[in-house]
Amino acid sequence: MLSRLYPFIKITVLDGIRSKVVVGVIMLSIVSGMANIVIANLAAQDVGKVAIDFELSSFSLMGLFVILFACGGSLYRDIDKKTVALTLSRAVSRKEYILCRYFGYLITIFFVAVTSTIIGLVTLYLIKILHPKHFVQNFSGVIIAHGFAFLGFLMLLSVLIFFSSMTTSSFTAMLLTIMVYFIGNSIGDLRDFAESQASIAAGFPESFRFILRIVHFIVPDLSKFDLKVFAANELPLDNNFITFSIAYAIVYCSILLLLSMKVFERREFI
Amino acid sequence: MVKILVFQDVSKTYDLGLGKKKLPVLFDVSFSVNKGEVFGFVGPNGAGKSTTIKLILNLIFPDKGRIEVFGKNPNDVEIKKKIGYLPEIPYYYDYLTPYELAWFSGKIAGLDDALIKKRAEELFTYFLFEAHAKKRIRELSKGNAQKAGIIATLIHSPEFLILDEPMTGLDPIGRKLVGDMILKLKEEGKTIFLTSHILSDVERYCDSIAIIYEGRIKFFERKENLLKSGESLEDIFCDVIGLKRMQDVK
Repeated sequence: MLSRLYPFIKITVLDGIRSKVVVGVIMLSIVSGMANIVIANLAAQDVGKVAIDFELSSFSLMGLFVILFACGGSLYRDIDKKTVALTLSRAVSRKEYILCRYFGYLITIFFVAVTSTIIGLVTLYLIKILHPKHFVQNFSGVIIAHGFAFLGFLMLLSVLIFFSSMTTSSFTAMLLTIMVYFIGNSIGDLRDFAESQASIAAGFPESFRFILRIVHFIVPDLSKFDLKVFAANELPLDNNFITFSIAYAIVYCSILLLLSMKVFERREFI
Repeated sequence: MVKILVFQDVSKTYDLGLGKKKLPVLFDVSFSVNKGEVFGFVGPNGAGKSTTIKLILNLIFPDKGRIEVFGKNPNDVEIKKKIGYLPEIPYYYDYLTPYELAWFSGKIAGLDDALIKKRAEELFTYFLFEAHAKKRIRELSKGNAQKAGIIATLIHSPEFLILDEPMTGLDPIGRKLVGDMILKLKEEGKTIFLTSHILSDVERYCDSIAIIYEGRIKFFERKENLLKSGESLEDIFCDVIGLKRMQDVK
């Protein structure tokens, strides 16, 4: 199985990591790191918190760029420019196409994530040297937060692939993915608020609560993978939370990939 | 005679989406391609040539009729190891090199790395393309991108080749090399499905010729019968699509 998938995964990765978007994102990581050093100088007390928060925010943005523009751009060429015919005319089944594209993009994102993480950690280390009194956090929380953000990227990638498998324009798929990104980042907090005693007491309508539950069920809860507060404040992380979040990401991605395969099997490339 | 490709009463209508009219493109199309023959498939723009190729490759599905490739349904992935497809428009993966594209095609078809390297060297040399082997495809001219596609199509020595306008964008030397390659492949007993707007090429290379017009096969004949009639393919083509002879048009 792997020997069948390997060639397509390999060219997906090569095509991905050589793209201008990936090079641009890595350059942007360096610029963002330098900006972090400057901004840290402006923070009076909480240098560590500000620097970690800024670094993780930049990392999330880089991930979004790579998913939308590198992976989305590649899917654009496949769908709109019809390079998909080049692959499907060879001994690659439609299911394998979805799998290979997903894992190829996963490796591309991993490459960018590791590079950006190294740049980010070097930056934070420099800031820590420059401001030893006001940067007391250690880096283990930052590394875990990067890992969680990466899981969030993989969920968003599965959303992009799902939309690309069903829409006739890759632009629509990208727009829908951006929408899911914003909803996914706020849906957890919104649902928590709707379910809270305060909202019940305030007369929050049951129908809205029901809609939020449905949306929360469909859209990936990306707020679970945003650990900026945890990393910046060195808060303890519950093992159950880690296990649940990883399992949630794997199950969510698997379901969306299976759905994408199902839709893609029946799709015509006119 | 072994049939590599069979189309029997195949019809296809495109559903262009909500609120849009359905577009019928093929009507009861029937023809077959025998093993070892070069089959010329010609027709004006929009006649249904690309739709036919997409059906062979299972990129779209027929509404009606039967399609067999190597005696199997086109959705069988394994038969594609024996097919080489050259698309009309050379859109490939921008950041790959022609060598990597060839490697991908060879690997997917089950070739090992050593054989791919050997075949690639032969093909890159034949097409006078060694200097471009390691360049990114996006840096190549249209003609050179076409050559990269031709090499990727031939790398696994497929039994059945689908060449959609193979001469597009090629310079005179490139056209001669591709033409000679088609004749060589024919000698080797490969089956070729060739579409081209250059009727003299079709007449030169093909053993049988079909003309499709407005989604229907209007003419299907072996070349020897065509020669016997004394008419040129150009004259027949004009007749089929309802135009006056070329000399009258002039």
